[in-house]
Amino acid sequence: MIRINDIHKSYFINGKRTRVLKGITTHIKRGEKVVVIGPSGSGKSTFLRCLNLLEPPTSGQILFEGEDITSNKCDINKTRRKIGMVFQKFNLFPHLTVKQNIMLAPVHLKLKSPAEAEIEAVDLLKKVGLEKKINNYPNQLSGGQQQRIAIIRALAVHPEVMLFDEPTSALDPEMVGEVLNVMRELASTGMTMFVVTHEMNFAKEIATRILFINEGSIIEDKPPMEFFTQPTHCRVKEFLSKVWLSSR
Amino acid sequence: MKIFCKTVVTFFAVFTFSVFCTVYTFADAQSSIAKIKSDGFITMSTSAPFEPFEYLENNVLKGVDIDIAQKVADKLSVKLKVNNVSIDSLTFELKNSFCDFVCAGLSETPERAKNLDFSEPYFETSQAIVIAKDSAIKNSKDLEGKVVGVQIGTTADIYCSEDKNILKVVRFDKHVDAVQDLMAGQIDAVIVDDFAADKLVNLNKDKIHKLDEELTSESYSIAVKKGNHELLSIINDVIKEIKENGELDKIISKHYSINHSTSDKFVEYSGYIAEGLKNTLLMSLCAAIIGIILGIIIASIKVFSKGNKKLKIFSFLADTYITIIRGTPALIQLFIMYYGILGSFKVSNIVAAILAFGINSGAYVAEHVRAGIQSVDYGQMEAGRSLGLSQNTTLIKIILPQALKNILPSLAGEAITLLKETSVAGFIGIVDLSRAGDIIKSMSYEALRPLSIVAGIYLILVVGLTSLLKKFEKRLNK
Ligand SMILES: Nc1ncnc2c1ncn2[C@@H]1O[C@H](COP(=O)(O)OP(=O)(O)O)[C@@H](O)[C@H]1O
Ligand SMILES: [Mg+2]
Repeated sequence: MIRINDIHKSYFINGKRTRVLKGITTHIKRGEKVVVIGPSGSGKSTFLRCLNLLEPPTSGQILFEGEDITSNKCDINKTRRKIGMVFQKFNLFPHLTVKQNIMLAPVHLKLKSPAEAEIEAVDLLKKVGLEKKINNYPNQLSGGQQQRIAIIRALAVHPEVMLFDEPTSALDPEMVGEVLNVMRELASTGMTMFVVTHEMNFAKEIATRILFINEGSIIEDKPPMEFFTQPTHCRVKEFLSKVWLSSR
Repeated sequence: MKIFCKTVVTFFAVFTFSVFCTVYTFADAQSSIAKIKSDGFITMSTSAPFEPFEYLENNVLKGVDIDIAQKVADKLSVKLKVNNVSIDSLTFELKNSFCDFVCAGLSETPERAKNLDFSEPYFETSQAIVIAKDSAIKNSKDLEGKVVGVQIGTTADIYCSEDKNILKVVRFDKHVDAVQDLMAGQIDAVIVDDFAADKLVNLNKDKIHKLDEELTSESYSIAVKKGNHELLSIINDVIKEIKENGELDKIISKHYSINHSTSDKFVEYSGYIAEGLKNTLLMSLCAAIIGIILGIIIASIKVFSKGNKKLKIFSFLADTYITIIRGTPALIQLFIMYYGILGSFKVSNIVAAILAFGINSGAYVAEHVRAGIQSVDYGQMEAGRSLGLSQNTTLIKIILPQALKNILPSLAGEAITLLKETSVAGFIGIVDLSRAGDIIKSMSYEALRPLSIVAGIYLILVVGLTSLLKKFEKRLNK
């Protein structure tokens, strides 16, 4: 579904080049749940953001269903509809109500009439148990509630793949569960998912494949059982021992 | 981004087009009689107040010149339109076909004759010296080493400028201002048309008087654009006719004998204030709308062309615009707009003022909006784009509403600045609130009261506007 061919990404700060991604190649198949793990600053977010071109890669190719989305000929707005994204900090639109947040894109992109979009918004809200909050503003909601809204806002344009960038990192611990539940549910519908997270148990549970990124390269690419029991790379072993310790 | 560029280009196209639409007639090489007849009106420019030739009564222009001009219009069986402009723009008005003829108590001078053609005189007069009651000045020889006041651009101005014995010539916008300074002891004498001198002395009998000596004898004529012989001969016919049948004498004595009663004055003054308030509000409101739209567009260009090579030129243009507007006085921008850019079209001065103030305000609004856009978390843009919304849509639907809310206080400040800035509109002949105060000042020979009233109205407007915006802000923050 998404083929990533040797992408590189560098930032230039004050004329100095920082290489963040150093040649990443992988293939995300339809229905897969790929979980990305790695130390902070290793380039996980950058990688994820390259997939919908929020960050254009410096070189390399990204093929979405065979179409090179890095080429100028590609209508990136159309492609982005097929790639939902959930941010660490939710990024709900604070000046709009929950309902307006969900309806904005489908109505504006003319995917649905306002009436249809509203019916679907209510439906989606029911699925995550937030139908009572339909007319609230984001700042009247808890972090966990906001993140659940952010997920269904992305789902309202019917994406084919969902990207999650540390969706629970900004949450208080007691709210992590409710967001992960929504993601579990989504996984069970067969959605293709690409998740950056530090929730190891969750990764173990839903992942079909785990990528470990270190200093801008994938150094481990394994199914979860193998990844956690027999990692090959010593950086991975080191990392895992630290996270398991801290999460106990 | 392509759509964005298109929007910008479309905006400028529409903008230019609307400017052209406000132009009701293009400037012609000659204002031929045929053209006037097909238009159905003839335009005369004058400069009031210059009693009894042109003055405002209950906000209507009256006077000898207006009546004569009406005779000319009657002769051609067309309507008369009158432009009231400052005296030093009369030649400009004719040269650029803002009007067909000028009837403003003008006398023929070699300088004026270079650009204009003059009719037969319709009035003979001389320049008189007006001095304070206790002055030692007895005749024109005593003016040596003295400070003399004149109305700018008049024959008196030309006379005094050539007289090397006079120590200093102070040029006033209106001769009444000169008389005010004379009574205040700021200047030693005022040189003014004999006719006006009588009028002025009459109003201030206890303080000033007129010397018997006639300085220069001169005559008033109607002026047309150089070479417009067709119209000139018709005007000459009219003058000859009304001289012969005695109508001219009647007109002159009618206006000379008019004396306003006090109660009339009150009505008249409030008429000026009302007119001024209307124009001030109209200009401020329209300019604010232009300013906001322009400001948002310019700010968006600046924010989104950053780091994009293809849009460098737009960014450069936006920067240039902001630098020029913020680096020059609004009054000069207004002059350039009215006399320069729109000079060759017959655009009404109020339209020119609205455009000038709107464009001026746009530069300031742009800087506020830019700060506002940058104050919105970049995650908002990313969230919008990740949903498949275009950059424009995200900007309009998501970023701008938040940005505008953040900068509402500074926009309110901008609106207040704009409201007060429109006070320079008087310089291109618009009776705005400030000019209304100025006119009343020169008509009533009193400064403090009318100007305090005008200041009070500005204050009420500003305080009202501020509290209105505060309420609006509170509602937004709910
Ligand atoms: N917009 C940017 N400009 C400059 N450097 C950046 C930018 N975004 C990320 N980086 C740098 O790239 C590196 C990887 O960042 P990121 O992908 O966010 O890491 P992770 O998500 O794995 O913690 C970091 O060193 C970060 O400082
Ligand atoms: Mg990150």
